[in-house]
Amino acid sequence: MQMIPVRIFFEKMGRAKYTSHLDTMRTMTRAFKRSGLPLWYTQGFNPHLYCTFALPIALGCESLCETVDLRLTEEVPFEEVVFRLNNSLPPGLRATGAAPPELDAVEIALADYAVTLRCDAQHWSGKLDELLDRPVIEVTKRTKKGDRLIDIRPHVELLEREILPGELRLKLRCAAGNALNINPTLFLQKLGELAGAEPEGTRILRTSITTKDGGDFL
Amino acid sequence: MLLEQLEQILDKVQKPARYTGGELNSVVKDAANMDVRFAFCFPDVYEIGMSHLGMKILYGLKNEREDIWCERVFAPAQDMEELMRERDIPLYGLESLDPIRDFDMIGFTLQYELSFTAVLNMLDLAGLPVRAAQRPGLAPIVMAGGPCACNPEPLADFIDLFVLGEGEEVNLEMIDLYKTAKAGGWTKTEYLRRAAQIPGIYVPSLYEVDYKDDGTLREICPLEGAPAKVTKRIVADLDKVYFPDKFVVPHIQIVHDRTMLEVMRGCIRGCRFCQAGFIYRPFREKDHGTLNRDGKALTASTGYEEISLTSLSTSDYSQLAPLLEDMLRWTEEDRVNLSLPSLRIDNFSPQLLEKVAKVRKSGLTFAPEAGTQRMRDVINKNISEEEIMETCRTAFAGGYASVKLYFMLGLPTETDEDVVGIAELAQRVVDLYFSLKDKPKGRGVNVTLSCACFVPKPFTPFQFEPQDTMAAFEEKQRHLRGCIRSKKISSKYHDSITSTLEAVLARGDRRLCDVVETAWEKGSHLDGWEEYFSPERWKKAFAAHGIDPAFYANHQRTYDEVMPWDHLDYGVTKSFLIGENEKAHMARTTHNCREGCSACGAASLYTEEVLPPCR
Repeated sequence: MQMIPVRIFFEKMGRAKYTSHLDTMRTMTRAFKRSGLPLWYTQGFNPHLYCTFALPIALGCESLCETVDLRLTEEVPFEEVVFRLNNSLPPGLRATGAAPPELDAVEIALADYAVTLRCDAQHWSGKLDELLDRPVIEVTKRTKKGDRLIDIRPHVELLEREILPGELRLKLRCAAGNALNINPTLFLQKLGELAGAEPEGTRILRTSITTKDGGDFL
Repeated sequence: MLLEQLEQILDKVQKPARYTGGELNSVVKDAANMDVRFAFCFPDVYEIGMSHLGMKILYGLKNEREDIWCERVFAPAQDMEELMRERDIPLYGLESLDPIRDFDMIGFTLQYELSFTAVLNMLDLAGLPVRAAQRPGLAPIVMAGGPCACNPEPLADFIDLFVLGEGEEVNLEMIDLYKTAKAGGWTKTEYLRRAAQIPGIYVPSLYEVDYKDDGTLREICPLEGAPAKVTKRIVADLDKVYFPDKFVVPHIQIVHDRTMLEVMRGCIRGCRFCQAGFIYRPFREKDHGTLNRDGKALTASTGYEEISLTSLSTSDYSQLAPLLEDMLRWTEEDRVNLSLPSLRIDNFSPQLLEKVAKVRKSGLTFAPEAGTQRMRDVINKNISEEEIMETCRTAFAGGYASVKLYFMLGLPTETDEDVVGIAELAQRVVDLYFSLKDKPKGRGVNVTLSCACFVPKPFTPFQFEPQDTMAAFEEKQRHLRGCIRSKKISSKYHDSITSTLEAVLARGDRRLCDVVETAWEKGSHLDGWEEYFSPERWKKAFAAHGIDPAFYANHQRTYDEVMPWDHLDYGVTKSFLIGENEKAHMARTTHNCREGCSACGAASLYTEEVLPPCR
């Protein structure tokens, strides 16, 4: 049997952001099944659909750049893969492309986020400067091995800032990947502590995932 | 509008996808073009409610109609409820996110007694008064159905009307009458008076209940032309009845996250403790062709990898072999698993096991219900110890090494010997395993006993019986635990306090409405969940109204006592139930409906144009 690896690029937007990674996986698996694509199953004692996500976005955040790898048993034109998937995906999830995987997930190094905070933008912007001036920003990161104190200052970079009435917009670049993944909410929590308030609303959108040299994860 | 408000709280709660809607196959319509907006409420959290097949059927059925938009509503968990109350977010429909207090009808399904307070809580979260009398307008009409509607008296003051029996036809009749009422500018009183004339609709405010000095009922009087007896509805032909070709596919994992096919309604067995076995009569099957077709359509529209054949006793389905043959033909290729819950011990053949085993090999669950043959005869669970052993032998030979056995404690006439008998039966199953030459290699056996507390229910032959007291239950549990000698046997016990409360509510009358309301006011919002349940609240609520729960749970009801549900007719006659009760006390069994008709009365539910297949 043929085994053709395909990387699907997809968006996770709107209400779909409230679906956790595990549930997104289940949702995707069912969408693959509904699509009628010739899916490849693992050949073991308990065959299951091969399906692996490179760097799943955190619960509550939206993303324009999710990927999932699967395998087909027959050649299907990539446009058709995208078309058939989009016919079976639930609202909020949309395939944007399909291609043979070029890079391995270990090469992922950075991710960019567009952050919108509904808040007193002037005040928060001042606090942002204060925070960025600190040589060390220590936060508690929850990991599978328990809580761990880490300094995220070297791993977060402010690319852009826009101050609007009642809204602060930021572009953040954070370390990403299997070894070290910095969720921007860690940084935003620190900012909130300095500002002495919670924003009235927060929107976090991941806009790109790149390798060390700045190339897109393909 | 509401979405924005929700966005601000959803990142603060567990499992936010419970509250967002937007799932695949959920139905979104244009509110402006609707005649009737219906909120289908399940008084428990999303994962429980979304697993309920009846809701999927009635949701699809109503949404087939162009003039009705039916939406789903579930009880929020405590964290979400707190935030909703704090920020004045009213209970909303998952499809439109519109507040349900502005809907035309709000319908609850009553699946278990402990959800009664959740009904009140959901009305309150919607911003509505919980008492029907305090909702004078036509809209929203608050209705309820489901198995617990067979004795809805503890909710009589809160619900405008109850639907008895199967909902596929009567729901639409009820909605059509509502459309007429809305167009004609009727009052709610007028609507309810007319609705009471629809067969299967029970309007509690049109009945007056009179009590004797000893606390029992004297009589129940219909008012304003309401029928003296309300008869439950059935759908005669299950091959013609609506069944959805789509299920809403949730984003988060729910309890029964799979395609479900309703194989049949009713049960041929007549186990005397089992309410479902009586209130869902008469026994009707679907054709295997219908089921195979529905299973295929649902697999295609949902992407589910499992199909469950649901019923009260799936191995009694007369076309099981051809059905499995049809289905295995395509499910194996499509990598869809078949699961068959509710198999009976006495017809669990090696051939059937082989077919089940094709899909998975985990544990098997059987329900002998009682430990001795005498006790099993009392409850009319017509299986012998030989059959139990034979089944276990088949299962062990088929590679299973773990068996779960369900029992009940506190059954009528139970003696010490019957309690000890449970442990002895389990021990014989363990001994059997070790005596087998073809047992699974290198694995020990595991026998799990799951012991529930018997709760007498309306419309069963045991509706007259007193329930054991909590002290008696706990003593029996202790005793049974002490009788278990083998480490291969583990035992689990249902909480006796919740079973006691269930017994009170199941056979309660409308004087309990005050108690239910007080328990809710004191904080009973999701009683079905151990972490939210507090017996103290209920104790205080009973005390506040001077009501002794023991009167409802523990008094022996005579055959001529007026039951709070005697004005409701589920087909099975009271004289049949009395006869069965007498036979139970003589430890005499009744044969099943296939061996011969016992004239229970359920056949009278067929209307003239259909010939009952069970005759």
